[in-house]
Amino acid sequence: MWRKQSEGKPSPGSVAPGTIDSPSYSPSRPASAGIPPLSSAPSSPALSAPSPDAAALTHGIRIRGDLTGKADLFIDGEVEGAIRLGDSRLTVGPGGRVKADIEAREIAVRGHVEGNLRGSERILLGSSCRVRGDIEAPRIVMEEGAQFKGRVEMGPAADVRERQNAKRAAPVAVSPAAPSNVPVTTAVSVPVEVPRGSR
Amino acid sequence: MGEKSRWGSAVARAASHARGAAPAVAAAGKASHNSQNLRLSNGLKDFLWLISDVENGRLLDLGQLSQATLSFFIERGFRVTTDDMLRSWKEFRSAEEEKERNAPPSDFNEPLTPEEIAQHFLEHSLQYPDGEFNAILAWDIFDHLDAGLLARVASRLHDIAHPGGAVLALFHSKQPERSCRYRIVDNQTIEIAPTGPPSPHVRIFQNRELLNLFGRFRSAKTFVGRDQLREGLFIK
Repeated sequence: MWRKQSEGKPSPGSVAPGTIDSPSYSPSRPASAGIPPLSSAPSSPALSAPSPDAAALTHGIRIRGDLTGKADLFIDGEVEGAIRLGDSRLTVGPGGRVKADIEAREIAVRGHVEGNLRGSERILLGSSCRVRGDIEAPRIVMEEGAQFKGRVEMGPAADVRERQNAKRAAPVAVSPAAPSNVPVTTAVSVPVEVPRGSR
Repeated sequence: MGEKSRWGSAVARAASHARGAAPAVAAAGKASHNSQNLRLSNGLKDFLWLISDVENGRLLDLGQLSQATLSFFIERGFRVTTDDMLRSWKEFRSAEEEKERNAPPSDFNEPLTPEEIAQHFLEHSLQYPDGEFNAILAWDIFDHLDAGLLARVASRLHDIAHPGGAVLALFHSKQPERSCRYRIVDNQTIEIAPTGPPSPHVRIFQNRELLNLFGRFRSAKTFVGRDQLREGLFIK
């Protein structure tokens, strides 16, 4: 019976020769054995898959300088400089080594990043990532095992600051038709913190 | 105000904090906790009370990164800095050992003493401005640090703590079976989750040693739980 099994068709769970072994499969260890997983932030599907039409800097490519653009970008190579993607998404793959300040709508990291990260929508730190720098975004998702050293600013404060910076950069248009009793809001240049107990 | 009523108001404040927590964060927390690993923590309760009046506070978390802990303090208006100190220390030590192995043999290459290694490490670690943090979560790092580092790290924490700032640390009273990671669940509960490999030997402190170690702090208070974990609260 043993021989039959080993020589015949692979059973559903076994690994056929020449195929890539799944990391979760270990012949010497039953799947249920081991330490129960820590209660962790759910792995975001967005984190594991960059968008299919994203531009890619694949493994082995090294760039020194500033990267700017309006398209999504996937980096699995090495970048040193600054990255500004405006309203687009940046994914740093497991092989990615980035030494740069990064600004994008959404930043997902699975590789190594040294620099400040600023996401106008959210930042995702994967379990294999290693980030050294400050991060700032309205939403930050971290998987268990993510390594991060630096300061975090999350929630409305980062969002408000982002909007303030956008306002400062954009020319202010005043509508002459606006009634005089409507309060006019202006960008304030004081640092904004999350109000205590506001959420 | 008497100590008791002050305590009562602090607890009420802490409870109202918990009620005011963002539903999303609370829900995420509850969904993921293993009740076996939860621990009611008087040290945490006191720690939160001490910092409950701080406006725009700054917190330093010296443990492993935890989104729950991060969210807990950010929701309360803190700016959070995370610095996984034990990992940095292990990496530094392996890098030093590697350097030593690769160094050309020479009469002048004396191996560094533990004190010198500790000093080199602190030249690159915990480099924050003095008085920067209102709150510091040290978790159980002192159980795992080398002897040469202990006093220096405690002293450095005193330097970077804001006057009146608090440090919460945990100390094992007996050898734990596994390494653990800690995260804050609510204003009086800590989740202690085992993290895989058996724990390397940890230092077991006597009360007197703790008081000496944190001698620069204005006040020290310890809490002992049934789970052989002692909590220490140190105020600058």
